[in-house]
Amino acid sequence: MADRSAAEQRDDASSALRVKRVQPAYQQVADQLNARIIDGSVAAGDRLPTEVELSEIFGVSRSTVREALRVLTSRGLLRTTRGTTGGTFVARVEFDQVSDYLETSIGLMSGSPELPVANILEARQAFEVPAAGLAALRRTEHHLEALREAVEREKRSRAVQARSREHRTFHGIVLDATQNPLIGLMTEPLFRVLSSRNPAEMPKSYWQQVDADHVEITERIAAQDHDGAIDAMRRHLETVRKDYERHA
Amino acid sequence: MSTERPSDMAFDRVRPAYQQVANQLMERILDGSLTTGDRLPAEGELATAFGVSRSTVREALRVLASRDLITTSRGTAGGSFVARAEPEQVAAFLETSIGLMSGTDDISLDQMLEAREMVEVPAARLAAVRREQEHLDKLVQAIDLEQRDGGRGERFERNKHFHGILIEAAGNSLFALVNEPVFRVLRARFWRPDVPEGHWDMVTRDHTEIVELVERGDADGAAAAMHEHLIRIRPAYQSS
Repeated sequence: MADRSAAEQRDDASSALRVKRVQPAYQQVADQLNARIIDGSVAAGDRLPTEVELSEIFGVSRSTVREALRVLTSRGLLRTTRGTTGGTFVARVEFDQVSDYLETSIGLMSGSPELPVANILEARQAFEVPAAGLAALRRTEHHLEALREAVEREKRSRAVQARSREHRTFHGIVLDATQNPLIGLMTEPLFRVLSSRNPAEMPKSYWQQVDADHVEITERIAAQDHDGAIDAMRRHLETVRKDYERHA
Repeated sequence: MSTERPSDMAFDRVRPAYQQVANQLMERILDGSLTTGDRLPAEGELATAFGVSRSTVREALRVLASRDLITTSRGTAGGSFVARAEPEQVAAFLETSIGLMSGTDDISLDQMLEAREMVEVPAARLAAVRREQEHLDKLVQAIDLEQRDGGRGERFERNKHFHGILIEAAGNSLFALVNEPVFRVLRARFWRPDVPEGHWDMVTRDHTEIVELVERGDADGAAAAMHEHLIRIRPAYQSS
């Protein structure tokens, strides 16, 4: 906490003067490379100039360049290969990797004054309810099959851990069926954080309700019933939220 | 997808030792047993607790550090501590990742616009309920600024300001966390160099209407107006 207040004092001093803190050289190099990745001037698979070239371009030492590359590599944005055809390349970002990062970050923030658990429940509802409607419009046979299998497995699994894993699987498939990976990226980390904080012992009646809800949602999605899927998902998440609040 | 496999047989891939150590520590962070500022046990203690070598522990700690979950300091008072997750840092990571994915076939412009709708429409609804006077003042100011002439980039910044304030008024920091990165990538990649004529007048009209509805506390109205606004601004973006 001592660190934090020092950081706050620092920020206060900077904002009082309306100036920004000076960035170390390696950070400026990393930020500029990062900006070129965001605006698309360099894309996944592109090879970056060599360390020597970069140090000339930016007017810094090779060790500064290396430090900057390490920052981006540790974030999974670059990868380096050795050998004659080796070099530093812009990585391909995997959804799972980004989703995991979001999950742990949100997990770390959750429960703090700036991110109460109620906010996570609220955001999940806000995103997942319309997602069910999109899923009803866009689902393929493959999604339907996967949803039905997940529902069947849920009914059969008795151990709490297996149940809650299948529960997550079901919701993941609904998000998949929206055919928009960004929606899953924004929503999955939320329900994964929630389920990791879920009280382990929910009453049997809770799981029976979940089973019934999932069957209903699956049927509405199968029928391509946009509004019906939205209603079913809204009711389901409302139940989950109430139970969560009661047992938390 | 495998079929007809009983759930108890749903195997996971075998993970290397360092990954198991990292995952277990992450789970403790996720379930709240380790929180910001907590000091992790020393490398030697962790090695004993997990039954692995110290170098495996170090590898695991590197994984956590690269995800900004722990910070390590040297010296006698040093050690590894659970970090504070900074929303700006998380948003920056998301922005870069989405930027990278939108350059491939992974994410299209339409999908980004849809994701934005998904966040901003419910945010407008919540803002109508939760906004405070301070938010209304800032929104009116933002519209005022938008109407003044300025470079294209400057206008965009102000426009962002409007949407940013509205999301802030919704009172849930997660909405901004996921929306800002999408907004910024849309700007950096898909913004048309030649905005359609009358675009900014339309934006001002829409923003004014949204503020009125938010001020009146009309949640459904604000959500509907935001939805229509986001559809009307679509022509200002194009795939490269």
